[in-house]
Amino acid sequence: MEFPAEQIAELAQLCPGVQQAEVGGVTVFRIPALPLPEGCTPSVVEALLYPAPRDGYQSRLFFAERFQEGLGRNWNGNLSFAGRSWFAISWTMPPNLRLAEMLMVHLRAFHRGRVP
Amino acid sequence: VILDTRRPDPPVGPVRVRIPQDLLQEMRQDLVRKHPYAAERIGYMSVGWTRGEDGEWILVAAEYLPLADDRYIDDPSVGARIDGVAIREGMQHVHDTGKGLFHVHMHEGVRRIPNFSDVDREEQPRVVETFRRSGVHAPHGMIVLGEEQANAWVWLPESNEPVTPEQIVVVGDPFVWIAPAFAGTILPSEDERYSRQSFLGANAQGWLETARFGVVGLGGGGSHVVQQLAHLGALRLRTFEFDHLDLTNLNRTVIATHEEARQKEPKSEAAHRRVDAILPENHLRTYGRWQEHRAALRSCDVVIGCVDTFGGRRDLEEECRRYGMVYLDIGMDIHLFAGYPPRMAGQLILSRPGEACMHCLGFLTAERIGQEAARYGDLGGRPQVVWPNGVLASAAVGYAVGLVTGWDGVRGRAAYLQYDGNYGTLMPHGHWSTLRGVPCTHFPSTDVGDVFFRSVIS
Repeated sequence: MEFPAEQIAELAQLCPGVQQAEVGGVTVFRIPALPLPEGCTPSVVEALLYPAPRDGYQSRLFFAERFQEGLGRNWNGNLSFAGRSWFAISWTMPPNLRLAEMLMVHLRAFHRGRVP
Repeated sequence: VILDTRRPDPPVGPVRVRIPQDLLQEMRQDLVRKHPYAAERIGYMSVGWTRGEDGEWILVAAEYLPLADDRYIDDPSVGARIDGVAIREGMQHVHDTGKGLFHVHMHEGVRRIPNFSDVDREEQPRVVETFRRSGVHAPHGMIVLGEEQANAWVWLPESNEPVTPEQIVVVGDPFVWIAPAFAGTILPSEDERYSRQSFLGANAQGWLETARFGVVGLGGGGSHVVQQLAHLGALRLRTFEFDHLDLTNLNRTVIATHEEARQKEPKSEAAHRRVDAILPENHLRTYGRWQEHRAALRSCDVVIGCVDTFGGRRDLEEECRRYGMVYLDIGMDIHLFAGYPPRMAGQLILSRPGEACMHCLGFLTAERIGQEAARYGDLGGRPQVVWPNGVLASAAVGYAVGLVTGWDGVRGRAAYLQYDGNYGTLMPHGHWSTLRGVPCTHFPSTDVGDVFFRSVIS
């Protein structure tokens, strides 16, 4: 699964330093320093966007570590992908989003109050 | 006095090279083709890489890059010489993929372990040096293939001096073990313990002692597996289990005693005691969750998965494919239908590089994994019993021994056996018959080794 160059450029504008790799025929994106919404500790974390269906979700945002979000999200640990263990929360989203939209919808899970 | 100025063979180093059988065949087929003017052919073997147990290097062959006829220089003084374009192509590949690169050629007609010639020792390290400059973090090297054996020199990133890998394994059915350092059976030769299994072959005991078998899960299935492997004389067992025993395990977990279950001892400790009792010379290492001990898992040659969930199987198979290991999966379930006797069903699946995977075989589906994930892995205390675990574990051990020793003469054994516990049958699943020989589409052969991320330019 490949994505149009403009979608990748859009993601790169949101996340400087983003990297990509092919894993099992899917282009995945490593975000070395993803800024988290206000109230999360730490405020920056390494993440990996898997922009295709997996584990019953339309896409997944994996985190290198579990962080404090204060919202009681449903965390899963020891998720294995691409030779590493990751953390993620249960968070559903609509299909057919652009890469940047996908990332923003995943991050909405950690926003307090009204969703921007 | 004649001074031997030839570059000596390097010492054996902590490197294990895995080459899928189909890739080796592809390399041989290309390298034996006649060239218009060169006496032999050259190619490149790209390798993914990672670090294994105790920091050893695991190299997994990813693809073969043949060189075009016009990349050879017409020089009758040597078997083959390639031009600068060919070397630049190699460097570019290293740069683009992050993989290591090996200069490959073949000594036709040589049945023992082939030696690098004086010219090879002089010239090929210079080519390898260009790969090293292009990919400083990756291991690179040179390999010469014989008819049945191979030899290699590997330059690791941390040193300017090469090493000879302690093991080269052709991952196929069966395995071909190429181990320059291997010196036959490790256990005392006067030992009679294995005289009744000498039919496995002259070198079989040595391979069983050398191979690393990983057993993931020490419940109903894994407890049988680890015990049988100990009886076989498999010295280098690796187990991965974090759980403790309890009394409900006693109906099927054959490594456990009543007292151990009552005391809620760790399953891995119980396994260690049983293996020590059967095979005192063992080099068993026990680990917790494999996800927390990935290096140890990656050093295994064969992994036998005895896990409960589809997601767990998916993850284990992904890991095994990425690092060039053979994965054997066993599992069973009891299905209850009101008004009918319970139905007992299970499976043995052999997943090896390049061949049909559990997705190809229809055993793993996105729907199954998704439904399971929606239950957050809470499977409860599912019905289990000892004998089907024993049947499937025995079948898996049989497959593992066949793969490692080749004793049975089987080439391309069934990748999917279905077990019917009500009728006591274990037979090839229809999906395997349909997919036999069809290459896997879920795990590209180049997806091996640690993932290499490249920058996205905005």
